[in-house]
Amino acid sequence: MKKILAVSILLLIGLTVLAGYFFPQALGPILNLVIDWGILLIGTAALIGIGYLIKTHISRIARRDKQSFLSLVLLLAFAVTIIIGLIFSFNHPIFTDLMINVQYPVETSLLAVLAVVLLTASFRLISTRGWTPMSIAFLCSSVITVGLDAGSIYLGTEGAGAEILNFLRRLPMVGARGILLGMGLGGLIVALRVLLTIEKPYGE
Amino acid sequence: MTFSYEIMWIVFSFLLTLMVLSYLLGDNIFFRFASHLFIGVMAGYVVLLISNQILWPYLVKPIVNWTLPGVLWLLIPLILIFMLVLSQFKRFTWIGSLPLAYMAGLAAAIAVGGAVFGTLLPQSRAIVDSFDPAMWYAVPNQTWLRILNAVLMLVGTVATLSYFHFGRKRKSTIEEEMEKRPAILEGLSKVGQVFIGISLGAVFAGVFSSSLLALIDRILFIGQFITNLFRSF
Amino acid sequence: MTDKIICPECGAENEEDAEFCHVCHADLKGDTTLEFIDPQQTDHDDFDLLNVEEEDLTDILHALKQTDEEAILEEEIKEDQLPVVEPEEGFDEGKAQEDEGIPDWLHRIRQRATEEDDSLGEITQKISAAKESLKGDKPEAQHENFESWIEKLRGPVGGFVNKEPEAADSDDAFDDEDEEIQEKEPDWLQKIRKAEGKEIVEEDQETLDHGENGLLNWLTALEEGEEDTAEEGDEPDLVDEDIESESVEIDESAATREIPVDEAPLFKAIPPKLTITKEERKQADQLTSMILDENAPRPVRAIKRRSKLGAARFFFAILLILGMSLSLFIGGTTNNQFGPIQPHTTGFLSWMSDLEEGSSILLVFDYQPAYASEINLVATPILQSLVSKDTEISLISSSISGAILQRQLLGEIHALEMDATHDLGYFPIGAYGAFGLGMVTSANWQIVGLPESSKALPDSGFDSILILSDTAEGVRTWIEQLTVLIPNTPINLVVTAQSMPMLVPYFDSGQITGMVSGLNDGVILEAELSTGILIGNRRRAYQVGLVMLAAVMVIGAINAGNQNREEGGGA
Repeated sequence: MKKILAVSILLLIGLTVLAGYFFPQALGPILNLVIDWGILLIGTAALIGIGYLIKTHISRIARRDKQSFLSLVLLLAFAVTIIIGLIFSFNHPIFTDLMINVQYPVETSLLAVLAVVLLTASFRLISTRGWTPMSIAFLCSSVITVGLDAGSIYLGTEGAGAEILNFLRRLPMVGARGILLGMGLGGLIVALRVLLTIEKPYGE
Repeated sequence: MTFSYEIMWIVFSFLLTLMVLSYLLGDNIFFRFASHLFIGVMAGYVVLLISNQILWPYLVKPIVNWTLPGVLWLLIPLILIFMLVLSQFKRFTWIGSLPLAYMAGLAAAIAVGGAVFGTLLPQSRAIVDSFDPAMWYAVPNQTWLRILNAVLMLVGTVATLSYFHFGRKRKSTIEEEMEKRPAILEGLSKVGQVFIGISLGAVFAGVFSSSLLALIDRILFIGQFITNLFRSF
Repeated sequence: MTDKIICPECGAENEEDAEFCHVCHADLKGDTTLEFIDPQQTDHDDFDLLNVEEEDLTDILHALKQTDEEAILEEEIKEDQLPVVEPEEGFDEGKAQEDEGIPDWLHRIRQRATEEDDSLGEITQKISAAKESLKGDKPEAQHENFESWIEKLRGPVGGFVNKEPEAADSDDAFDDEDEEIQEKEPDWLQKIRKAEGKEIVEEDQETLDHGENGLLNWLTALEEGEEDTAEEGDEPDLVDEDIESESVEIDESAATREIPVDEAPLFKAIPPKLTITKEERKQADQLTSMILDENAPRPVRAIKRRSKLGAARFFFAILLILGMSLSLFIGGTTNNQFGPIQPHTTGFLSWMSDLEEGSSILLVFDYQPAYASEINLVATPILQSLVSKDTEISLISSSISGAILQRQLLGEIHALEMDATHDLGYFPIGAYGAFGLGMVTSANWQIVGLPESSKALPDSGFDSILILSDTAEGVRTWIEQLTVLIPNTPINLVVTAQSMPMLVPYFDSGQITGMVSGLNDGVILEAELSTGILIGNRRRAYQVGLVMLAAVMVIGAINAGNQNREEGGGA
């Protein structure tokens, strides 16, 4: 019974949304409602996920794991954020400042670390991957793109030189289109498998 | 007051930056401290964000501004949310399949619509359009260039697509599957590898560019902080 | 509590002063010894825990379950009964005295056993439980309990073994009883039985053949088995091959045989039998491998490699940071050559110049703070231009930090104070937001009684959509939905350099009107829109970093080529 109910809900929602692409004017308000409910469910699922995160770290502290003090830091940071957000408000400048001054330096620094990691990895590109058509194409394309961006490869803004530069700039688009089509087909196949109930991500 | 408040945040940001950048010397306690702090703050932020931007406008506000039809429309999502929460308890795990089926149906249908109408059809049409003679002759002295461009686009796209395996891999390895494929497809997929390599190379250069800008931003920040620190003494 | 002596031949318990085993009449004052294992020798390949010929499993198991106190007591007894054990060469004498003659590995196990309840494994726990049950005040009642316990342990297999062959042939009868017993059994036991049930049934007859033999006979049978357990792949890699070959080789088929533990003096009516299943044997093996693992050589090679990588990363970090710091703070000339401006950048500039005053624009924030430094450089002059044209701005965020980032960016250009700025909220998934927006825009009727929607759109819809994003995937979901549902509204992008290559096909297919990305486009925009200079020295440092990448890639490739040549020459 519960299987039939789940499949019915899946098909009802799936087919209605698909119909919306053909009849947006007629189905617009209903589908807007369907989307709102979906957003509510996603929000709830995210809260449940955070609940599990907190639970994991509480149990780490309770077990007195090796680095449970880091879990304590996490929980304190969580509690302080919630408290500041509740005392002031979500849009209050103090809350915004807290978020910006934690998120921005941490995330930007992580990305900065990535620059060094990529530089190290690029040195070992060929020694790791070997001389294959893909690795050679990758190497050449990276070096040319970087050269174009840095202005090191410059053949003028008009004439044959400019055409060559334009060609080099557009060349990655060929593979990108193939990749986009491949991703589109892959996504379509997976989604159809779900809609045809061949795959059941919601459980048996 | 404002001065010390700003200074406090700058020092805080500076310390967090140094902690994360210390990862360049290897994994260490400062890095882990900063990452745990970040996760904690983000988790708290997400809770407030969802409460403020999703639960309040979509769920709580209509209940507070009580109108019978408005609340009746909320019955279905309330039941689904209740089921989702209840499914976290071991005894009622099965009940979660209904809200999950709802989300799966919604996501799958949107993915199908987006992929077909937003990518597959327009991108295929773009390849076909590039063979339109009107486009070839649109710019004088560039006809052969445009034809070459169109042919390259077609061959490149087909070759890239032939590199993908849309069949479901079971027991055999990819290499074994490739051996079974027709020779022409095999040859095309080799060409496709080159085009994919070119595209990924450009993406790699882009990723490095983006991360480089982040590094520049941090170096500037640290430099300014140290400069201001010396000036203040 | 009286101490017992375990018979080395049959495992039966005897009184401490007994000279001969009351079951098998074996000499209890014979030459049964526990060999000491040199801790220094354990680092070598010849460390062999199980290859101790004079030591049988009963003694090991008995020793495992002992507390330290019991161990000392037993050692005292052994000192009387057994010949003095000579430690091997290189053995730390001081330590030996400290441990009262207990081997190092045994000492560690005992220590662990005192700390962890389940460290001894189920086999020893069961034996301990059995022994404990014998020591109570009500032997008869406990005898019954033990019988039922051991029957439970044996489960359907044990039950089946004791049945008449006729009954065994009846599958239905077996199944019914099996189900009944399984209901009472704990989960773990059921799972083990379920996994191995078939094998067990097939081997029952063989099990019966072993009959009433002692534990030692069972072990002998195991040693004679054909299959090596190492072939299963259950053994850890660190166990040396020599050790495996010299260890007790446990036959796969014998793994589920019954081990009759002779407790004759206490269980005369029904001699309890202990069934060691495959799972339990694995646990015993794991215990052994754990002991071996403690002394096994560490994979130094991996650590060396990691440290080499760390050193390389540190070197490149210094190189990059130093190069860019110099170009940022010391100065020099900036090369502003870009080549021809790309068509998508031209398209974006055309859209900007064609945008009428008072237009309504949807601004989608789909990027993370990590990319804010890049996006803001490009987006700031654009937004300044939009504000100067008195555009009506609607805001949507589809990234977690979108709400914060829009406040930061628009706050800098004082756009938040404008009455014409509306926040349409946060959508956790971009595709949902785009689809919902498309539906609201397209709908020509409304559901009666619905709560007021947060998507309060401008009356005439949007004149343009501007998406600020850091990932190609995020932008793709917006483009896919909006080009279908709101096809006539021009879409423009402000994206990061990393997402640009994957989005150019959408410009080529006409789905987007224009796109700007990265620092170079930022410089072009600054020049075109005549806004204040934000980029400054960044461009020079950016160029230095890019040239470094190109150089490192080329040097790395040449280095790899040389290495290949050397390896080829060497071969």
